[in-house]
Amino acid sequence: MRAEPIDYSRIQPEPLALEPLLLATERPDCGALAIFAGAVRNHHEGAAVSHLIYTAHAALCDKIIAAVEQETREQFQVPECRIVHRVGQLGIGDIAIYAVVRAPHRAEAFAALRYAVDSTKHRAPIWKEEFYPDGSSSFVTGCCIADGFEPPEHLKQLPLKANT
Amino acid sequence: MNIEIQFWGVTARLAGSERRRLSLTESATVADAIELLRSDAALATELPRCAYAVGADLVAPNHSLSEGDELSVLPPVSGG
Repeated sequence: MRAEPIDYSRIQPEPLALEPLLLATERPDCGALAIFAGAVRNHHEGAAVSHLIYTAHAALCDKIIAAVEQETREQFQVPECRIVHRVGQLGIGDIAIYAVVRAPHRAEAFAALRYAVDSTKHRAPIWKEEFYPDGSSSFVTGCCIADGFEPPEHLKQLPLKANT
Repeated sequence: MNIEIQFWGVTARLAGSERRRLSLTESATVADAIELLRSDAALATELPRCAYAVGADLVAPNHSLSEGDELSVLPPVSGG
């Protein structure tokens, strides 16, 4: 049994809503719901940050994030994984990304969620420009898409015993 | 042929614009477009760290370009 697909964009200019992701992924066979929310913080590498602007290649993002969701479901054998990311200007405390995973048990839900978030950060064509209190800004140095993403060892496999 | 370059992230800042039109030979590849962009000193050091896409497809340097293609220059990403 699979929740009904919802019509949504993985890249959104409006404030992100968690509720539609939860409703769309509800399943009676999943006892674990793992959610990651990434919020804008007011500092980076020792410097105060006033706000951010995210830009994204939306069409390519949609394709790459869909692939990350599918990989996550297959690799960790979790039935549901959804990821959305916001673009535009975000203030301190605003949510930039939600990732939702549902699984029968918590062990695979935690592992899958971390893989989904790390893979999105490393592979989705999204750029973060930080703005500082003096009005200056800079793009955050990130990960080269061209290098590919090799997940760290702890994300490659599940714990041997999945507890309930 | 003519193609359109779309600069993303820091490359738009370095290029001074989000878009640039390039004229290439008929059999040109992505690598040929990169080579032409390397003549822009501000961009040259960033280009080796970039990935490239035509439309919504990531492409390798040996990918053949076509008239009217939009080639995206994708610098290192920093979502999340």
